[in-house]
Amino acid sequence: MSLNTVSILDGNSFVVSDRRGDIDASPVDTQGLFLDDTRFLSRWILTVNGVRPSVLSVDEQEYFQVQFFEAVTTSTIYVDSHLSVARKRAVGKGFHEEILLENHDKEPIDLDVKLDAACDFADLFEVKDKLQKKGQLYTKTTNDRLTLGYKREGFIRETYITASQKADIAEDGLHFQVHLPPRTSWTVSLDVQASARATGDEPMRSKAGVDAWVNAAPRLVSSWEPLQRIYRRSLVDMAALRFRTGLTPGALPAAGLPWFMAVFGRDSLIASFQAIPFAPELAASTLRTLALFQGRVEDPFRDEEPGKILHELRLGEMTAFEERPHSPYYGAADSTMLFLIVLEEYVRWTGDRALAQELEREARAAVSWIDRYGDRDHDGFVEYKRGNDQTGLDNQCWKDSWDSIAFADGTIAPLPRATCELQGYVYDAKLRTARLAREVWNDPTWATQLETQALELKQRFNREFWLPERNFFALALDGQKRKVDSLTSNIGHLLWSGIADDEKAASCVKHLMSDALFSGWGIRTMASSEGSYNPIGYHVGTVWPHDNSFIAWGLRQSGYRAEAARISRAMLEAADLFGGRLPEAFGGYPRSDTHYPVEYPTACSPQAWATGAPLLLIRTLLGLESDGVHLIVDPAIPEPLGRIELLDIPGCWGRMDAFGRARAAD
Amino acid sequence: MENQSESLATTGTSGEADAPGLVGIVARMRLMVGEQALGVLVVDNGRVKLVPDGPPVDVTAVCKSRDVLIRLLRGQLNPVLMALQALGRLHGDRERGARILYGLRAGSPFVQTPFDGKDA
Repeated sequence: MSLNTVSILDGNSFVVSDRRGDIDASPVDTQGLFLDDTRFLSRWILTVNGVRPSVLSVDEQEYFQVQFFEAVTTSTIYVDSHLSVARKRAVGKGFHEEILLENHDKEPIDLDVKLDAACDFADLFEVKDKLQKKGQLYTKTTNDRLTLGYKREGFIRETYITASQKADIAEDGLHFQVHLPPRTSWTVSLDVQASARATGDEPMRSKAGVDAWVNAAPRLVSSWEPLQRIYRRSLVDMAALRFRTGLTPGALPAAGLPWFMAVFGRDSLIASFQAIPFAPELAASTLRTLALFQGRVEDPFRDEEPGKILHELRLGEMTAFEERPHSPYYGAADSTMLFLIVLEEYVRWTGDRALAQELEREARAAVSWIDRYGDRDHDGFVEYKRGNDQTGLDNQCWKDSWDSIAFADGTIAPLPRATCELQGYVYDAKLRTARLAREVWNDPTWATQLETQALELKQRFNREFWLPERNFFALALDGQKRKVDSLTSNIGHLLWSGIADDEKAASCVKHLMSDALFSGWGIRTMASSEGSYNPIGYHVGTVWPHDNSFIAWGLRQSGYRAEAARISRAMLEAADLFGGRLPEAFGGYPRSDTHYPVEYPTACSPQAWATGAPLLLIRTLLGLESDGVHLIVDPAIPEPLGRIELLDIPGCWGRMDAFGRARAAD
Repeated sequence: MENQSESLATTGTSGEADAPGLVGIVARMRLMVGEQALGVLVVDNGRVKLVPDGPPVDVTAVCKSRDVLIRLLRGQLNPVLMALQALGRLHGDRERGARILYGLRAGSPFVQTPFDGKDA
């Protein structure tokens, strides 16, 4: 997000304005009121006597509420103004805004207050790609309401604007004539309501609701004060990103502001995994929702196959008319395995066997997808290639930009691509599903089959992905079964899944902690030694916090305590420098070059799996694990972080506390 | 011109049939076109049948036209597109309703049913 914009959000409803509070969408400024992937207001400009007030300060009170303080001035050089303006805005399914004008002068003043309003009803895809509308825009005015509308066949979206004070309502906005005696004020309340899908009338978010969410999570106390701020920021941002589909109970995390306020299989699952020790209900909602939309048929347009877990669900016009495949789109090769992984993690952590019983059929369908469709050519590895050549995704792993899977010399690997972390996820998913089959579904025969398959995969993977001349695992096998030989962060995920043989894992750890991959702030997506490396390339050199949180977790699980602590510390120090909120990604420049991590220009913030990263890092530092009955605590905390206490951790044990402090050996 | 108000149970099939995508679901879904109730889809763990309208029901599918309803029953209409284009909506237990509509896409016994005397 631009530093010159202010965003407030509530689930997939959000408002992006300039620092005055005005909305003036243009091809270069993604401003507006957005809901369900549609812009419901593209122009909202306040003028007083024809002048746009100057901003004094912006008070971002809550994630859903902001206040702008302004003054009406007539000069480019500030001279004391006698007329101040305060705009207080809260987002819900639309927004509510209170405008307060105060005359500080000894003389009365007559004011012509105007709010320009307009809407282009752009689909989010149109905002990004600057496409033209195919339906009709219209406006309707009555004495007390301005309606902005758009119609294309049955796709009708409207925005209703009303005011608490009498206004002249015209097609281009609302007009107020105000007489202010000396030292008096005038207030008007404006409601901008968006008509979209029916998800029930939920009340607008409240501070009490946010406090209740934060208070329901474990309480963190740390001798390193920034950690408490980072932790609270993560909880509040996760609260902000909660998203209700209106179909399944509860809320799941949307992926990120502004482009990804939608259900994403991979993002929602990863964020849910990160949050399990803190807010396990997110995982339950995510699993139920993704199960509902699990693929049923073979549909190349949507890359849908039976048993596959979705990639992305959108609700805008282009989706409605199949100009985009997101209804839902299934172009993710990893979300199906992650579904199984999160299911087992959630059940082992919470003891909620009922959810595992409820989702047994979907879990079996997911395993069938891995074997039947995931492994497209039956070579024993999952690979991907899009069925939709027009609007499908080329890369269906988490590094889904076009240039992310490249050889060391920078050559892009041909499709289909079998990336290494996908094989690790398959291995992990089958072992975890075997545990559920044995312990919950009473199917030991299937459990044994899955374990055998996982073991065979591990042997095959260690044989066929290993690069003996470079001593790490290939990023992928390409369409000609050649090893893609770039050094990337993907090898870190192999530690998390446990697919790497011990000796090979040790070699990968050395690479992960080398200067080529570890920038000092975190592990880069691609090593600086590789042909495609770019410190500000989306997946070819930047540092991604979620990636690092899983690498740290994998290091910890593999016994590399000091390395895990080093990455955790670096990432949390970066979070501190970002004001407590880690962005989606940041630059891969060496830490020795800068005193602060360099921002990546278009990073989403907040983004769900970046928001969840500090949570998984705290789990890593405290060594929190569940054996299905007890909470296991095995801290490994670096010296500067001192002491960490996490109180009232929810799980199958009820509520338990965990304490850890730095020791010389850590 | 087709009769929008005629019961689907009388013009379609009234016998039980297999619906593999509906294994694990037990529900009664009222089928409506506008204000007209045209029957109830009885789902019983992978078996389905159409019966005349009557309580109780768990969920109601309200469609814009009889054609939309038949496409839904045949698993030929994406439920998300139905909602986004305002071709139909669900009331009541919407989660179960959505599971039924998605389940019908995985093999609907109504694909070959000649509703209103018309083939699929």
